[in-house]
Amino acid sequence: MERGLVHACAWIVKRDLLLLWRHRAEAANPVLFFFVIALIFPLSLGPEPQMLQSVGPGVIWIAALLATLLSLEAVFRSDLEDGSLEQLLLSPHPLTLLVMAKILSHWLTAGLPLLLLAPILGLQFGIAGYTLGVLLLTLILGTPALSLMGAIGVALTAGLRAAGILATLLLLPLYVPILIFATGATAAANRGLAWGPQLYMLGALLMLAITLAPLAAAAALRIRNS
Amino acid sequence: MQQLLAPKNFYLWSGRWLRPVAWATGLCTLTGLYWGLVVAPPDYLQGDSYRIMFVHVPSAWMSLFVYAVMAGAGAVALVWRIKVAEVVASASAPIGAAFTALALMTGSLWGKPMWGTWWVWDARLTSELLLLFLYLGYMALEQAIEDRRTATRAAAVLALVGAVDLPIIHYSVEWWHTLHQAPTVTRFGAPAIHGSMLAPLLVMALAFFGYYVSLLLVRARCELLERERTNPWVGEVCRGIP
Amino acid sequence: MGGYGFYVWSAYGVAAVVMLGLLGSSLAWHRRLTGQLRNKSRRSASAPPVALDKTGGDWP
Repeated sequence: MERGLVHACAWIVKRDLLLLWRHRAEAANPVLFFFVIALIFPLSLGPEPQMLQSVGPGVIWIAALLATLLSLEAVFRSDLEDGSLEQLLLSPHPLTLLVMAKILSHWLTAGLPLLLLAPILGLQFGIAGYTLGVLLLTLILGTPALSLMGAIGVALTAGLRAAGILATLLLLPLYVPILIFATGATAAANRGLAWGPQLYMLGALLMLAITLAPLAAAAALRIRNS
Repeated sequence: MQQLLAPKNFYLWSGRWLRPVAWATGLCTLTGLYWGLVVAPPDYLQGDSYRIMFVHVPSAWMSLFVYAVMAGAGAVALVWRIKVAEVVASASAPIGAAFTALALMTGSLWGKPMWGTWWVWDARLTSELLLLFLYLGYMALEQAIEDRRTATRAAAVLALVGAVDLPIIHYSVEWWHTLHQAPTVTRFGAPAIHGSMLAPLLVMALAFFGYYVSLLLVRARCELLERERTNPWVGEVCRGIP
Repeated sequence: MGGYGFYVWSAYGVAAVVMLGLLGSSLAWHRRLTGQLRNKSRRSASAPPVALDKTGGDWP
């Protein structure tokens, strides 16, 4: 990779992180959302430890999914508003790689915090250590995939009215396989069954997403802003 | 063949073919209905309720076929910016969504007498439900963007992503289903089907296909008129000037 | 229909309603469109060509 491209990508990531830091309170929203969702479930389903332990991983994954969707809109929205999206499109560097940089910064600001806070929720649901480990592995593989595919959704809907809801509607069917294999792995781990294959599937989905999603998102951006 | 891709030519050509295709479809439908509802014998296990299969299975097949057409036309529209392709993709979406919804409703009506509940998280039905959301998402995205050409091209990207994801979704849902339930026999329209039932099924499938083609032509013509309304040929054609 | 009549006829009924309904609304769309576009085309064809006022006077 030529020096210019690396610098451009690094600059994108740094800028996004800086912008996030300046709006710290806003940045905390997805994280708080994550907790709230995970809190609502025991309140509505009841505090029985056995039941919570079995639904726990699924609930945490749903919370992660929703929190990610909430924060995804921000990936391109502010850029659209202040004109930096146009700059991205005019840049001599391949848009696909620039988009990858934006996705990386999204994951650093949304996925990574979820990853770090999931153990706390795990304790709340009484999830056993072993299962919790597997849950974290699924989140490590799954949250980047959520960010990658999410970028396609937000690129398609950037600037539209009700963009957030529309992107969610578009993305949910596409997210289903990730959800199925992630929760399948943790459910298997909980029962002492093999969880390797599910994790391999997640890894495969991640690889597919890394190769194709930035391309699709870049194409979507070009179409929307031609 | 290439001339057909010009909007005006496509409009006139499709106008000529619409009636014959529609008549053929009507004939096929009547034949299929009589064959399936009257001639075919009741099933050993399911009695007469299996006859729902003659609308359920063609709906399900068409829901997938139409998505493939939509994604294919979308790809052509993206790569070559051909207006006719854009129009075919756009016109197909509501038809495909209707087939999917139909597959779900008839599946539910078939399931109730068979399993006692209106809905089961069967792999096929769950996949169909997700397919419905893919269609609805496509239509919602197209509606939300103002410029029609941009809207169709953006939706085409979505359709292609969905097309890549569909087999993955289907496989993951099947895996999910076998994990959470005992492998019950929930295979509608399984290949091991008796000839006396397969024949009317194929006729109905052909009828549904003909219906799709007819409806596609009607809607595609409408879309073409709307998108090309500033073009002089539109006015001429509507006034009957060839 | 061997006791399953309700289910079978409901299934065929809903298929008929959906498919015929979609067909009907599509045909109505076409009729409406061609009507609109025909009228629009007639009006613009019969309307006198607009002369541009190049004299610099006030456009009424």
